[in-house]
Amino acid sequence: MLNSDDLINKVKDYNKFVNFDWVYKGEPKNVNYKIPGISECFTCHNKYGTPLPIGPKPQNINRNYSYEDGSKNQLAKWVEQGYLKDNFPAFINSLVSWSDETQPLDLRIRSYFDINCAHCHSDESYCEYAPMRFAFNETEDLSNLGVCVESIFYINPDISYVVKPQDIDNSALYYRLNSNQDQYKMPLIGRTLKHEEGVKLIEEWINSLNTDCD
Amino acid sequence: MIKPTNKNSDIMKKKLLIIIAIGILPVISLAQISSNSCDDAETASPIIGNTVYTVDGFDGTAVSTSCSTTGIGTHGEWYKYTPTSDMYIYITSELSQNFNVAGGNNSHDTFVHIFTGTCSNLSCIAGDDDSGYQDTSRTGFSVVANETYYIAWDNIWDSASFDFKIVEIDTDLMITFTNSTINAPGLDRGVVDMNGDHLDDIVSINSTNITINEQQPNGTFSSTMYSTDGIYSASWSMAAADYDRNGYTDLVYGNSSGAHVLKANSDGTAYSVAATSHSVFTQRTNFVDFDNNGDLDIFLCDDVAPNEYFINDGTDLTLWEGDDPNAPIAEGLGLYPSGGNYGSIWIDYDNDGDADLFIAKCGGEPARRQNELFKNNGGLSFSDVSVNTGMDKVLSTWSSAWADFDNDGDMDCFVGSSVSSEPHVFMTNRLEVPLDGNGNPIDGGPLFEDTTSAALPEGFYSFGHENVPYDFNNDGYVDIFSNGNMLINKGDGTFVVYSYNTTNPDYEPREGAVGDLNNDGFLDIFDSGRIKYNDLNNDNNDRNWLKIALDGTSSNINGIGARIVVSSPSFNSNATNKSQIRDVRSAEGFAYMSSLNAHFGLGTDTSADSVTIYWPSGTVDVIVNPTINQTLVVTEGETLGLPSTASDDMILFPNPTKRFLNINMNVIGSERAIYTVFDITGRRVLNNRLLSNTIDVSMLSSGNYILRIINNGKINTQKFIKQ
Repeated sequence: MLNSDDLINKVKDYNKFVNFDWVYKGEPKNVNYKIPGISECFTCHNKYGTPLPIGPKPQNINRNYSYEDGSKNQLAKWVEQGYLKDNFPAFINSLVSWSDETQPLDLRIRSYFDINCAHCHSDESYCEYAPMRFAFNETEDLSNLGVCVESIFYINPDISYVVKPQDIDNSALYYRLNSNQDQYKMPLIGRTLKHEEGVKLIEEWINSLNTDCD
Repeated sequence: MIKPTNKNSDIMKKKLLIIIAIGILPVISLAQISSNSCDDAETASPIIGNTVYTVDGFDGTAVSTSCSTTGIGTHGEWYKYTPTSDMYIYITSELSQNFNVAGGNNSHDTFVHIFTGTCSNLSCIAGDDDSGYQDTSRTGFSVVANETYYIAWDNIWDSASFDFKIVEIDTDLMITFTNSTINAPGLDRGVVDMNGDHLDDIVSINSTNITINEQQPNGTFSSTMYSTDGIYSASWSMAAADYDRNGYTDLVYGNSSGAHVLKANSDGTAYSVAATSHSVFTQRTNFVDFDNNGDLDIFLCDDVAPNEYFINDGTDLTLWEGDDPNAPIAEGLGLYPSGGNYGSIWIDYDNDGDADLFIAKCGGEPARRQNELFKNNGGLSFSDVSVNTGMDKVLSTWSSAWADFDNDGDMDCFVGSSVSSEPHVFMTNRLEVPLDGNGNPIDGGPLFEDTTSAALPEGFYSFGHENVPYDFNNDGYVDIFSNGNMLINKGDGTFVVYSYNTTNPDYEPREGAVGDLNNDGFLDIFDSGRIKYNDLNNDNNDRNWLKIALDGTSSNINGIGARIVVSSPSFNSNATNKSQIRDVRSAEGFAYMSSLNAHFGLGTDTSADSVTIYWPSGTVDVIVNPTINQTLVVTEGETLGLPSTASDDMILFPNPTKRFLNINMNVIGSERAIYTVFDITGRRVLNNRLLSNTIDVSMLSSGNYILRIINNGKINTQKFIKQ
């Protein structure tokens, strides 16, 4: 476990650049990654100015995981290991793995948004002032995901909605996830590369929506 | 130059635009009911402009032809409208009482068709489904006097009752633009003179190159791309100025990871990074000589931390994080720990000749998004006057527009909200009321009065990042270009809104850098890689103008921070409208760099009486009877300045003095009295409004000084000795 001194040592290189080369699926990749500054970290890790950790919540790990000794519910495993008491709630409104193609698309996308977007797009957070609310327990309401919500912030003349069903080119949310341009990309901080699989999932989801915004 | 005496509005009439404006006349809801068919409407009384009408449910005949692609509902409700003069109008259901009625964020879902012709032979002139806020409608077009227009509301989406009105805009006020393409690769960021010829050029930025389109005297552009050694692009903003005084304009810009100062070489043929901050999450940047040493400093708004700045000592730029305990500005300039700084703008709100700082703030807890105003006390001393002045609104905003919108001699402020849940704010500066020794109104109220409800049109529901103040129609009243809307100043302290159709980049501006891109004195916009030329020009209206470009010598070379005052027959100290004022700023709005040339519309005045420039150095230049409809280039100190009063009109005592200087003038409440203390080398060492008969000179070192007081356009100077 990291103690606080270790943590400070880990982030002391903040605002510095680290150049990475690697090969992904046979393709050479490169990124000059900038380690976020401490103030950038707290941009997401806070509620109204009070620092708050962002870590796995029960809803994230309440599903099976392949351990060396077999597949088991992670919460149950944590109880077995003594990390948790066994008095957690019987029902937890839980995410699915966004990459699990056997799960319904709407649960996958809501899970994806929860883990990637909800820290800032929620009450008392950095982007409280934008209308989206991405936490899993708030996204059964499609308008919280921006579906048919007019996009306030100008990107280009083609984009008038946060999400326009079956029209990724008119959807600010898709544009932002698909862009590496600093002023448009989401998440705003800590992302240098595009998450291709995530973008594909969002495209699939937008194309599956059949709400008529008129 | 051809100046027709009769206004030629044909050019405007040709343009059929999707427009919006909300009238500011008192609104009364009339009991007049809708008709059930075109024929019934024809015999009913016509409805009139700027009046709210209620469509009380649907039971009339549907239209036979749709004026939109949306289709046709089962019922229609009909009205007749017959304008009494040629105008632009728009018909709108974008009214607050129609919002948030259908659960969540949904309004009444209205749909409208508008026809001309006769009931037996109607032809569509306009139609709209959802151009308004939420699902409301708005559609605009030019109308001809005494022609009859039929308005049919359609229930295709919603049969509930709702309100609407017709807003009428005087043709004289209209501001429209025509699109022109230009080769400008990269982020469209600047309209500013880059090479010292005082013609506005176009600047586009990429992280490793910049493109400059230089405006030629014949109005064409010459494009050059320059490679740079930068790693950050102008993702969030750009500002421009010649900070090293070599005659070629330099840039500052940045993204979430840092910011660069990009310097032009000695002949403007290469650009390289001269200074960098790797620690700023860059938002608005500005060039400004906030320590008033004659060299431009640089301010960097930080989204997530206290703001940063570069101090220019004439040779080097030194970067400071605002909360550094060793930083030269003890009070910082926006030290909120998690930032929230978006739109910094340096303005002289208190008419004392110093550049003060307003920060438009956004996001997070209320304290983080409380806007801030800092008064420049000189000598790198600042005071947070947000609360005292009433400028401490908690409002999520990315920029504000500062200008003397009511032409009473001081800078007013429009704070443009970036969220629909927090309304825009309009603040009127009350510097003309008597002030106490601390610069606060003696009536006990704040210096800025919230006049939002009087000034702004009801139902202005468009939000975003960009708000900039310019007189686009050269009528002598500064307008506000706000996120695809023009808040047109009607000249009576109120605005009417005209909204552009921003869904097509080829003809309507949404946001951008502002300047004169064909040097015709009517301001244009560079938006989305396209020039939006102002449709007004010297041949189609009888308005006049004057542009002023500054060449500083003791002050910074661009004259940033100078106050320019233009007097003309309709705008002078004896008229209802006082002389017009501008501050030279780098920069306005949120992302863009707009022209450094000060632009004045003169209305129909055919001459100007004087141009007075109050330079940051303390120098005052006066140009009497300048030629108008031109760019007037003023070099600092080239004129004799203001007339002097007899020297024995002012007596200082004690003299020599150890601490205070008393003046035998009754200046309390005086509108324009400014005192400036120069040392024997002519360097300005103190400057402020004269708010009492006593000046504290205790901070000056021993020696000989000159005290200058400017009051009512005249100067008086006296020597004194500090012991």
